[in-house]
Amino acid sequence: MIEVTDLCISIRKNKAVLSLLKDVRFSLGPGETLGITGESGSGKSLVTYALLGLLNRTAILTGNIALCGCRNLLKAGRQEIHQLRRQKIGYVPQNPQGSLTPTLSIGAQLKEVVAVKTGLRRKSAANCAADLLVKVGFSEPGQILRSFPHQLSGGMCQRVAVAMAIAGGPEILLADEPTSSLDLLSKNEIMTLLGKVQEEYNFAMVLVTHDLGLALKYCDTLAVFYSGRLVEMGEAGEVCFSPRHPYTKNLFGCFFCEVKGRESTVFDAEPPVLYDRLPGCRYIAGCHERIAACELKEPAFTRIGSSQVACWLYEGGENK
Amino acid sequence: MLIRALKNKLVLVCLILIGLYVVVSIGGTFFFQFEPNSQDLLQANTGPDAAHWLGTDYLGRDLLARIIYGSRISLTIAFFATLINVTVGFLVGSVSGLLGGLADRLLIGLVDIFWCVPPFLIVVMLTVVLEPGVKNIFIALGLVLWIPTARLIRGEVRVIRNAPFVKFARLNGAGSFKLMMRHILPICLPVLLTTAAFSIPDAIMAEAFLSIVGLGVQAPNASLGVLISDGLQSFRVYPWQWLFPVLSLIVLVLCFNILGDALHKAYSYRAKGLLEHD
Repeated sequence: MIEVTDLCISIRKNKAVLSLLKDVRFSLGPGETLGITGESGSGKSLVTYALLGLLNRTAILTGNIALCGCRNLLKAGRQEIHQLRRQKIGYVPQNPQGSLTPTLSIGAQLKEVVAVKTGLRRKSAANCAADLLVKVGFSEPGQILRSFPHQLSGGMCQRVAVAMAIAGGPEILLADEPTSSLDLLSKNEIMTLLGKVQEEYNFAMVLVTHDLGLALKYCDTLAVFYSGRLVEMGEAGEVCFSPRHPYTKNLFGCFFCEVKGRESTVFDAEPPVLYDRLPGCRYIAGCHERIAACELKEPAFTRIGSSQVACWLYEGGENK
Repeated sequence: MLIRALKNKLVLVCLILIGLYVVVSIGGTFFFQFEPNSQDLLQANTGPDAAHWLGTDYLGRDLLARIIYGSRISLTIAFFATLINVTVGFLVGSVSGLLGGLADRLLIGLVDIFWCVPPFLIVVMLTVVLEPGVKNIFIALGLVLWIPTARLIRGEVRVIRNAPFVKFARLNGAGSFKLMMRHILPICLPVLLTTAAFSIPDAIMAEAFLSIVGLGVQAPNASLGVLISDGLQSFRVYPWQWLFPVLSLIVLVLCFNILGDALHKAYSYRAKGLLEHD
């Protein structure tokens, strides 16, 4: 379904080439959910942008993204990407209220999306829009169709956005922090809804989130990013309860301290600046377990159990 | 939104006054007993009385008739100047904002060059070259007024183009044309409407200025500016000849300004904070 191999993203600035994201690889089958987490600026959203083909004209991309029958998205033409977005890829935004056009009624927007994605016209598009609204949990679709985005709450707007995302019967759904601007109840509601529609359409879902609890609960695989690199990826439970990379340990250490109401003792260093990186591991400043090798070269991926870790501690097997 | 704006009494009064100006200035000369340009030297310089409600000027022409007729010319000039302003400004601004890149730089470079020249200098030069006359005045005014409008619309388009809802619409498969026609340009319209409402008093004032310096509407026709200019010459002896045209200009300009402000408040999505949360 999605097969990303050695994806690197960089940009050219003042003749220098700045690497934003390096060596990302994962694969995802139908019905599976991949969680992507990491701090702000670690490259989480970039992955979704790359999967949407948004970066093709602005960034330098190497590697390969194969999805939904497109062998390499990075080399796909504009028309092909448009076609993919219309029929295969759904996107759920971070800021639902700001993501709906304020001048158009929900009905006008939803019908437009339905028309574009399914090719239905007028009456049948309107019926389809109403059906979609029922599917995302509105009991009175007619009233919602007539209202404007500012008349709905954040959670309701997000459900409308989900309806738009699933209008074309997607094979992939990308959710970029779909719940970060919502309260807990709406958050729960949206995640349940996403789970429900995933069951119905059996799409592969990429869930970018800061919320580790959410990631643990809804994802099959969890990928942790740090400073533009994938540092650890594996089965969600394993990454969460027996993290291997020191950064993941710190991250989940913080999370469990918060859950249990304890003061966190984790010290975290600022990630290295984009244009001033040393040759060694990127987490060297915040890492308590560093060894001599860390300063010399960036670690490659090592497979341990179901996980992959990029850390020198695990080079050549389980922790010594 | 418009209905809520109308509930404001002041706005309603302004709208009625503007309507009155338009109706009277278009129809007024048909049912009014005095011709604006017919002279009656025996009645020259009379003050306001029962026959001539606002008095007469130095040639004995009825001042009310002249003000009505003058308002018609002023409004005509303002309307067409605004039409040119809004059309050209919107076209240049939106093309520049939407295309970006080289086209944007060229267009906005042109706008910047115009921006550096004092607008009245351009208007004065144009009216001198084109010969003074109603048509040429509004062409000259329109050709100057569009410059700030284009910049305004360009800025607006550039902000909206990067708004999350445009990105989301694009990701949902909307093509460039649809994106432009449904998700970007309609959101600029309130700004354009407000600009138009403010452009009308600007044009009226600019035309009045041109008339006062002698480049405006030519005799015997008169706009409000010409009337003010004429009245000014005998201001000390016959103050009403100056006062009434000035009053009617003030009321007209004030009405459009208040209306523009109300439109801005009622329609501007930015003012309502709908574009703010990101």
